[in-house]
Amino acid sequence: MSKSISLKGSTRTITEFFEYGINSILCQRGIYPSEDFVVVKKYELSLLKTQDDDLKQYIRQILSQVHRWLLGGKCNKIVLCIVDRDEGDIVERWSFDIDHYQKDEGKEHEDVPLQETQKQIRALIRQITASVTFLPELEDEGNYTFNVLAYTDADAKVPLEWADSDSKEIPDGESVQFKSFSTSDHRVSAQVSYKY
Amino acid sequence: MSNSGGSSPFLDRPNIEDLRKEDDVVRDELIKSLEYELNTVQNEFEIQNMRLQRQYNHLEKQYKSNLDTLEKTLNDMQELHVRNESLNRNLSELKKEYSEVIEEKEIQFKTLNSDYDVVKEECEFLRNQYQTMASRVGDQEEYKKLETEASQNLIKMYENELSKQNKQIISLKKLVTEKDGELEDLKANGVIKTHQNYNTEELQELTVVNKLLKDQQVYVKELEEANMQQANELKKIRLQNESHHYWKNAFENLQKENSNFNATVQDLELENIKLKSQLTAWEAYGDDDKPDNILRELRLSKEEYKNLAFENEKLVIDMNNMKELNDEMAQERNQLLEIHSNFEVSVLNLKKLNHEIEQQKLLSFEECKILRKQLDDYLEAPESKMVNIPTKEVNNLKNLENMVDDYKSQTEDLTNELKKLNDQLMSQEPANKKRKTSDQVTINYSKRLNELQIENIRINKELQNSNNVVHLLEEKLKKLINLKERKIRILQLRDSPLLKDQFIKKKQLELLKAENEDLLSNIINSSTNDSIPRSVFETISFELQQKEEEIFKTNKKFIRLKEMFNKKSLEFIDVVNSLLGFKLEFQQDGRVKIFSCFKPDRYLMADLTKNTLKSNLQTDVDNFEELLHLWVEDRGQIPCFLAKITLLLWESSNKYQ
Repeated sequence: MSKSISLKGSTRTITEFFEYGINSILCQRGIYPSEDFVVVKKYELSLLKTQDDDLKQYIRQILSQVHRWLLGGKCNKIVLCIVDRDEGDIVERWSFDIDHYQKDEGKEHEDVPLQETQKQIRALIRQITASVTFLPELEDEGNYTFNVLAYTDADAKVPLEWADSDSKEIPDGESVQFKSFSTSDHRVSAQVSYKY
Repeated sequence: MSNSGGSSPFLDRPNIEDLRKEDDVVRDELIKSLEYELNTVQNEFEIQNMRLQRQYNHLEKQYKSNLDTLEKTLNDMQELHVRNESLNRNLSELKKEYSEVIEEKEIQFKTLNSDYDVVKEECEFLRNQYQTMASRVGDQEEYKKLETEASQNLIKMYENELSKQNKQIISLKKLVTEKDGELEDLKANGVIKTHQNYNTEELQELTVVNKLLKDQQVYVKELEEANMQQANELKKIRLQNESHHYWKNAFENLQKENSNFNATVQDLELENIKLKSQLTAWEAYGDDDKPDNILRELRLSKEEYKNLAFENEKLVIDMNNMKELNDEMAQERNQLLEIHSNFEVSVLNLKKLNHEIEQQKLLSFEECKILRKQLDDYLEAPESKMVNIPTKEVNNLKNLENMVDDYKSQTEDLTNELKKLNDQLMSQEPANKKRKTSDQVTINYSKRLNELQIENIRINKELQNSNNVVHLLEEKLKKLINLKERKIRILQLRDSPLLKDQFIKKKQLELLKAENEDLLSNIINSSTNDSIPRSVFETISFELQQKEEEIFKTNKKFIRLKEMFNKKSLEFIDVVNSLLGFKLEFQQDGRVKIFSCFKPDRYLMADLTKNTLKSNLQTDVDNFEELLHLWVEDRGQIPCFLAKITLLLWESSNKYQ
């Protein structure tokens, strides 16, 4: 029986999704070699997860802070930028918008069962996986790095490890909107912008 | 037919009967043949007919099928026509919508462009203003600087001059005092030596001294004048200095203003950027929720509201008029109803009267009849009797007759009156009709009133709805006005891969720059020193560090690949083992140990370099050597040999079990 998840559970679901989403994107777009990733079963899908300790540590550090921000309702967006090492250009920008239902007063929102959330996540991850077909090929494999940006409220507590950044938009980029998924407290929608 | 065979009598005539018989036979045959022909022709005809019928049927079928197909195609055509029409209609609607949307977008785009141009122009105007002011202030500043420098130089010059002249004055004063002293001495000497005669030399000296004194006096005067001039100039310079201070202050004020102005320009630019970002954010939210759209909707709904209010006012006025009219009509109606009731009462009264009169008339008629009967009876009595009747009775009779006549005349009068009344009643029927028509009018009016009331209710509802919409939109607008864009911070980890990479590149660049500078300075100084600058070493060591890191990474990658390979090869070995029944173990010196799954403690050792095959399975397999000889040496089939051994080992293991 599907049980509605609490705020903590909702944020955990979201951070978990981010973990697998970021891992999938990094593997599929060839930012890290495929041998660095192992196949794991999640959301009834075979997903890729890194075994590189540095990358694992980096993602964990980001997501633990994002989890804290989400609990406080201070984080509105997570962006993964894929950057050309030589030129410093942003070639792809994966943005995940997070809507907090509790923040919007007057909006009544029904509880979303966990199964439904997982179903929506599955659909979204499938879309992300399929996006490789239409995204332009990243030439010079290994010549790209990535950066994760977190959009927070101005009054959010920011640890010293974090610094301000610009939005790293892609000028005149093409955008594709993906599906979204909802929990009882949040709604996450994904979008990819890329140079074409 | 005649039986004469010909004209000659000598001719032997044939027997007529025979001939007849022959003719009959021939005829029969002919008939038969004809019948046969007829039959055949009939058959052919029937066959032909059948064929034609079949063809006809076939053609009819074809015709029907063609007709069906034609109908179908016609239906299809009609459907297609209908669909085409609907599609055309849809297309035209879509075109219209598209053109409307394009127009809307163009208008929006134009307004945005115009706004953007206005903001841009404002910015440019402000920038130009600022630049002109800045340049003006800069020029003034430079001019003032030059002026101050010139005045300071002048002051210095004058000060030097003044000090020089002061010194000269002091020296001249000293000279004057000395000369005064000398003069006093000379005077004193002159008093003492009044009687002494001056010789020519002394006189000459005195004249020279006098001349010198006069020159000195002139020079002193000149110096004093020069001093006065210098004092005046100094005053002027002081004034200039004061004015310089004033201008300096003014310049500072202007600079302050300038900075304020800059701040305002920056604020405006920030506001502009914010507005742009807001606009983009609104665009991101979608077309429906744009503030322009909402404002337009609000404007439209306000206009609609105004129109509805105006219409409502009109309708209220109409309704009031109608109410007044209705009241008037109701009053009229009441009056009419009263008249009607009176009329009905009068009609009833008249009817009653009529009835009474009728009854009276009947009674009177009956009375008349009785009286007439009596009179007739009376008249039928014998005249003799009449003679005997007294005169009184005759008179009475006459009276009675008169009475009857009167009664008759009265009844006739009454009937006439009744007729008249009936006629009157008949003549009053059109008025009744009129009343009916007036009733109809009132019904119509009431109907119209009802309709108007319903319409009024409907319009009131619409008005209420539009009021609600206006209220909602106003609330939305208030919210929008109160909505301040949440300030957002964009954060990234300081220790991100990108920043790490950038940091390394930056460091590399710095090191290379330092190296370049050192090398260039070495070349410029053309030092014969063979030593390498430290920066070169630092660059190389940094590069080395980077290479080491790369090596570490590649090692890591290699290890991971190795792990993958091991994993996969183990999988492979497992698969081979499970499928073939042998576990292979590759030795370093080109030897391969082959373990059977049925006897894992024994093995076959294949030496690939020496091309030998040894084993310790002889004890377990009885005829091992024979098998080896047969399968390997004779037949050269190692797989068969292995298969055989596998089978034997399986059998032996099964035996033990």
